[in-house]
Amino acid sequence: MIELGEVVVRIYNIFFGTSVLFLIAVGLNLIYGVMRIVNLTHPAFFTLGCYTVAGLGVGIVISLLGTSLTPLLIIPPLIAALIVVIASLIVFPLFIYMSGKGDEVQLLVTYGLLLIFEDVFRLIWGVEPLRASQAYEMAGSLIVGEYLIPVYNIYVILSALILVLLLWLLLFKTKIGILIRASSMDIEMTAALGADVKKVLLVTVLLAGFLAGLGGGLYLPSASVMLGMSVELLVLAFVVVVIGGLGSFLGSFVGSFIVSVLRTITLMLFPELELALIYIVAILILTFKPEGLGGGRKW
Amino acid sequence: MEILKLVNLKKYFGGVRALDGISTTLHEGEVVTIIGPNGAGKTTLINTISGYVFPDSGRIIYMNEDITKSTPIERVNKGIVRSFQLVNTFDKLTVYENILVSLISSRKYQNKMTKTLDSYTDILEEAESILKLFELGDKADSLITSISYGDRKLVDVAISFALNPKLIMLDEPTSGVATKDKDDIMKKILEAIMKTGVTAMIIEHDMDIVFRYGKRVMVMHQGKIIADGGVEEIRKDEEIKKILLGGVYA
Amino acid sequence: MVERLKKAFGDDLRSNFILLAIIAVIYPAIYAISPGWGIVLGHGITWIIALLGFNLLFGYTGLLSFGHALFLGIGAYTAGFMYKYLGINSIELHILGSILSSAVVALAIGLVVVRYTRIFFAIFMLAIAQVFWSLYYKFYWITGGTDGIKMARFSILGISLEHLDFTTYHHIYFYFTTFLTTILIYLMWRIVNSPFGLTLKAIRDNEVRAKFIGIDIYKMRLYAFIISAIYAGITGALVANHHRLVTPDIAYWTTSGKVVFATLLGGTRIFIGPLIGSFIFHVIESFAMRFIYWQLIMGAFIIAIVILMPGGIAQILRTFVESIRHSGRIGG
Repeated sequence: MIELGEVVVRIYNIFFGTSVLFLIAVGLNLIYGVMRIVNLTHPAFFTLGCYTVAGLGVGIVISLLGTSLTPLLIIPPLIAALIVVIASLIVFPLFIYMSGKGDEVQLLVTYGLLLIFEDVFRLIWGVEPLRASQAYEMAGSLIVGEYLIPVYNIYVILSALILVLLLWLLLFKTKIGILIRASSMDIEMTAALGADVKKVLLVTVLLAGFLAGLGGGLYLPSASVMLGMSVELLVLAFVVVVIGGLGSFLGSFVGSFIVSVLRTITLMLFPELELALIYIVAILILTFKPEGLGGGRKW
Repeated sequence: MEILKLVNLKKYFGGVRALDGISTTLHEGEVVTIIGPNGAGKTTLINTISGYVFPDSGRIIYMNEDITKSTPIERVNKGIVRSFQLVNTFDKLTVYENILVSLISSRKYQNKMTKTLDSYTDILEEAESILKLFELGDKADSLITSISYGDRKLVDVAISFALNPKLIMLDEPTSGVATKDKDDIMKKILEAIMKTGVTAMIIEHDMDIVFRYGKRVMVMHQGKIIADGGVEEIRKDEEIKKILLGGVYA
Repeated sequence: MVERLKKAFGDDLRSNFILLAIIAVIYPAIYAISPGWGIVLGHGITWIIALLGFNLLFGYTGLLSFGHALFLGIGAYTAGFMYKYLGINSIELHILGSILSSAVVALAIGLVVVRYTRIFFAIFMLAIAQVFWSLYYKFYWITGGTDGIKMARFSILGISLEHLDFTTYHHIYFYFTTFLTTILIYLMWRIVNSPFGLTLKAIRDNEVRAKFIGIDIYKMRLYAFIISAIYAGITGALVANHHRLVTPDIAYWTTSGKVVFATLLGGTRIFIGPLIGSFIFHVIESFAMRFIYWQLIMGAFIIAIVILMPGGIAQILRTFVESIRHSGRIGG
């Protein structure tokens, strides 16, 4: 029999997973929406955020401000976001080079970057997985039946919610947000109407980087970061975008939610087949609803 | 014999009436030039007949068969072929290979993977005659990207001819071509049409070309056919002149 | 008339066979000087087949796959399972088995994937390859997991090679693979120069126009996909026997990256590209293995090749050879 505690924990798992995946998927969809580039490097930015917090951010905060919780909740993710924004800035000229060129150029360049990042991580942080969960243990855990839910993870879910809200406000209520959305619908028209397209592209890339870095920074204390994570995240982010719809803000949420549900179910029943089952579901959805459940572009 | 019959074709894009009740007939061997201001629906008409888009209502009868619901590939296989307004060729291949691949498709050789091309002398010979038909022989081994725009348009048309069409639809075959080359291109195309006896619909914007080479002229405006007759009577019609020259006309 | 179909350097059979012959002749000498380098040549000759298949898909049909390791894995594990569970040692049977298994898997996956855009294709293949890798990794009680499946020496024409010294054994492997590669090169050459091959190139250059001249682009892509999968599967079976160990690594995304990089390096637009790429890649790899940031090099090279020399080394060679030919004719 399934007891209430287990149900609560599963629901928590689903929301936690949704939050994390959403933060990755929305950045991917942003860049695709505006630049029509599927940025394979995006998950590596998330991983960079994780590495920054684990290998750098937490250490800095503790040495400067001691081990109190509040600065640890806020500052390391922001440091991570900053580092990734800087990395996005460095990589931006390549993005400009890629836009308007053929598919293979875009795929090969972002793939090359993925390979480079993997070794940069190894170069800077070594081969062992990194964690920072100890510093956050003071936040405590909720006891639910036989299970423990770390309070920090609840914080992650709440932060993701706030970020979604802020992002929505940005995209729908500010001038630059409207420009971004207009560009994602028709970039030539937007340019013809006088918008500075290069500025819009830059803001989009930096925003996506910011979300990835922040997301990685928030996520890390709840888990660990290791080599090969970028590709694992890419595989998950891709299926999120297939199920939710390519280029769709709503789709980022719908896809993340469904993938989290599927993961939770399969981990209960057939853990070895987790990835395989998620992809079978994605293929079925693709066959019957190619634009995804949240409404996106054609694949 | 009747090759094509359009019955009350309608196509709307949102609030725009691209085709607003088009009915007409084409007989075998006829060459119809379609003219009209921008947005009149000319390209939509070709798109609908070729299967690129499906009409909202109305029927398309081709050689006594209702093809309104047929797929683009089915229509190509039946002999309905079109070319595009913007040049649409296989750019990393040579002129010769462009024509050859079209012949391969037309003869259904695309599945053949065990014998090399040199053993298929039938299509090799036909490629040579098509090259001659369009006077592209000396450019045959050049890559598409290295020949002039006018020649590229000719290759585009040659690709369509290689499919042995019964009905060919050319969307502004001389657009983008330098004025001094337009006559040359149009002449070669019309010669090819005459020699093969194919039925043709040609969208054209250059009025000089239309009045010099046109025979039957169809005038479209806001999704309707407003005139359809010999080139002389169209040329003399004042009302039509006003519509063509006034408004948005490139 | 047939003159028009004459091939430039690298696209003709002759230059390919000459290169292969040179390698076949110098191999024993290289091995005698250094067995390590002899084995590197063995890697080189093994992977040509997979790269040829990959290039059919990428260079000729325009479909870039980041998951080609999937079929290498299928081939390798087919050989591995045939040995582990059926006691089959014969390399001929391994190869036949991997042809069959690769074709079946390629048909199943191909039916799904060829209908979508090329970007979808690239990432989907990466993802599906990872799904398979995760299966090899997790079902360790069937696949041996990270410890893998240890293989005995293969038998050829039913004859056991157990009692030979390693050098002779490797020589047999090398020449058997060279023989197989020669046949498969010839087959692939006929395929890319057939009507089907030209059709693939048209689909690569302009799929809309290809559709509008009546080509079923999805069916053609599916055929190319299956052929390329079979080629990769054959290499998988060969690798299983060359290394005598089958582990999930062969199906990991970095192996797919290797395939992409080696083919790009050799040159994707000329037939001889994969041949050149396979050897040069493995030579570089054996140097770079000591420099552990190998992925960084590959990644940087991929970007550099795409931006600076998209035709790869084969293109450079062709320009060189053509200029010699021309200067010979005109007199300098």
